[in-house]
Amino acid sequence: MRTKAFAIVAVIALSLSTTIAPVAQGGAPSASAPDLKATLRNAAEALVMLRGAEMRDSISTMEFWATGTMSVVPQGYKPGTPLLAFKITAYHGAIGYDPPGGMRVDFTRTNPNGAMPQQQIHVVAGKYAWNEAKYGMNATPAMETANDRLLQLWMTPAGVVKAARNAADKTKVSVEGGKTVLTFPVGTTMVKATLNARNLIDRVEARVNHPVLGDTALEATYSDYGDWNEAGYKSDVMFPRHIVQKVGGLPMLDLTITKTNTQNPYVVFPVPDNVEKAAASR
Amino acid sequence: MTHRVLRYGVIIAAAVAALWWIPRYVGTQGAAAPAGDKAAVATPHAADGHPDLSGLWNASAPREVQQVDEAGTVITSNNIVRGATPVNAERDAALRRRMDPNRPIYKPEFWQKVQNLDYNGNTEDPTFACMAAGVPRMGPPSKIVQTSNEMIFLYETKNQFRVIPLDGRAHDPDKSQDLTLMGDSVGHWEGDTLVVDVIGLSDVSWLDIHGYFHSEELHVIERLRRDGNTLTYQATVEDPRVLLKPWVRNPVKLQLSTDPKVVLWEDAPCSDIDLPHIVDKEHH
Repeated sequence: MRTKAFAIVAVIALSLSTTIAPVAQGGAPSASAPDLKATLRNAAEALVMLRGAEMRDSISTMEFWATGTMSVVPQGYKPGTPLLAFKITAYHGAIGYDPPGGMRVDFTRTNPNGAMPQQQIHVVAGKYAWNEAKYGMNATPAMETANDRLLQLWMTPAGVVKAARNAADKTKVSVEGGKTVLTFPVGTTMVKATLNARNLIDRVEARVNHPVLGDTALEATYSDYGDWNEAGYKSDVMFPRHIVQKVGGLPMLDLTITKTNTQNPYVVFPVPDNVEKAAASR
Repeated sequence: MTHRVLRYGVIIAAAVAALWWIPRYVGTQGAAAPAGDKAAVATPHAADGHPDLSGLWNASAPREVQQVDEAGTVITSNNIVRGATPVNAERDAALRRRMDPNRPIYKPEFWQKVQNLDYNGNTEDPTFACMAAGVPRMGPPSKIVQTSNEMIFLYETKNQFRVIPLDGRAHDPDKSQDLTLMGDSVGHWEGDTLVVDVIGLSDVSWLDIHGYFHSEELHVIERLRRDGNTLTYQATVEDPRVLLKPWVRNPVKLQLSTDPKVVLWEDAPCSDIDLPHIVDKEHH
C-alpha cells in the first residue's frame, strides 16, 4: 500500500518536473529546409556543450593530448612519392574559446626515423601570435601567423559551433548530399562545416593562402567522437578521437587523441610585452 | 478500503498542496526577501554622513532554491538537468562553475600547479576539510553592523565575524605578520564606497574553488557600496609573487532583507565525513 502511495506521489512529481523542465530536444536535421537556430542547437547538443536549466553553452576551455604524424607541405614532396611524415611524439593543445579566443599548441616531432626531436610551441590570442621557447615563456612574436592559428582554433568542433553562432546572420545553413552544412566567416575566411547524421561536425573546409601552394583548400576531418577525459573525470563533452588535416589535398596532420580535459581547465593566454610591442610596430 | 482512500487522498492532497506552495515559497524567499523597489528606495546615511551599510544582506534564504521565472516556474539548474540524473547534475554544475572567463592570471611557472590543484580539488581544496574559506573567498558578509568608527561583518557560513576599524589607523604590525585566514583589515571611505584593505593572509586558503592558490604576499582590497537596498561587493586581489597582474573578482550584488522576521541563521558545525568516501576526481 505504501508503495502504491509513493508511486502516486512520484507520478505527480514526475508530471510536475516535466511541466517545469521544458528542456528542448535536438532533432535530426531537416533535409528540405534546415533552420539555422535549430541546426546550431543540434550541433551544440551533439557535442554536449549545453548545460543547466537554460541549456547554455558551457564550454570555455579545453585541452587535448595526441600523437601522430605531421607533414610539411611540400617538404620532401615530389610527384609520385609520399610526403615526408614527421612523427609527433607529443602534442598538447590548450584552447580558450572566450573572446577573442586563444590556443597554445605544444608539440614535439622527430624525423621519420625517430631522430632529432624538436619541440615547438605556437600560441595565438586574438590578434596576437607568438612562439615560445618554454611553455608560457620566452616569447618570439609571430604576428604573421595569427590569422592561420585563429582559423585552426575556430575549426575545432566546438569552435565551429561558437564561430557560426557568433557570425549571426552571416552564417548560412544548407543541405549538400543529404548532409547539413554550415557556412560562416572567420575573419575574412569563409568556413564550411558538414554535420553527420548525429549532428556532429565531421568535416570543416576553408580556403587559405598557403606560402607554397598559394590559394588552396584546408580541410579537417573529425571522427570517432567520445568523452576522452580520464576515468573519474568525465564531462560528457564530445571530442573526436581522430583528427586529420589536409592542405591542397595533401596530408598535413594526422592526430590520434590520447586524452582530453574538457572540464574547462585553467588555460590562459597573457600576451607578452614584447609581442604587444611587435604588434604595435607593424 | 475507506482507510486506503483516505490515506491516498491525504497523500495526493499533500502533494498538490506542496506543488502549489513551492513556487510561491521560492518566489518570496529564494529570490531574496522583499526589498522594495530599488529605484524608489533612497540610500540611508549614518549620522556621520556616510552611507549606512547596516542590515541583513541576502541571508537566510534557502541556498539550493535560487530562481523562479515570472510565472513562478523554478528555473534553477539545481532542479533541471540533462536527463534528470544526479550524475549529470554534478557534472554540469562542475563544468559551469569553471566557465567564468574572469580568471586570475598566474605566472606561467604556476599554471601546472593551478591545474593540479583543481584536478585534485576533491582532496586538495582546504574548505572540503571544514577549514574556513578566508578572505576573499568567503565573499561578502551576511550582515553588517556599522558604527561611527568600525564595521562589524557577520558571516553565516561557519558563524564567522570580522571587526574592521575605520579610524584611520594603519595595519597592526603584529597582526599583519600573524598570517591568518581573515588577515588584518582596516577600512576607510572613498566617497560613498567603503574600502577594506586586508593583509596578513595565510597561504593555506585559496582565492576560489578552482585551485586558485595564493602566497603570503596576498593583498586584498574589498569595496562595498550601497545603492538603495542593493549592496555591491567586489574584491581585488594582488599577489605579485604568483600573479602576473591584479585580479578583480566579479562583483556580487546583494539585496537587503527588510523582513523583520528574517534572522541570521546559525551555521551547523562542520564535520567532514565525505572525504574518505570520494573515489574519483569529479567535483561535486
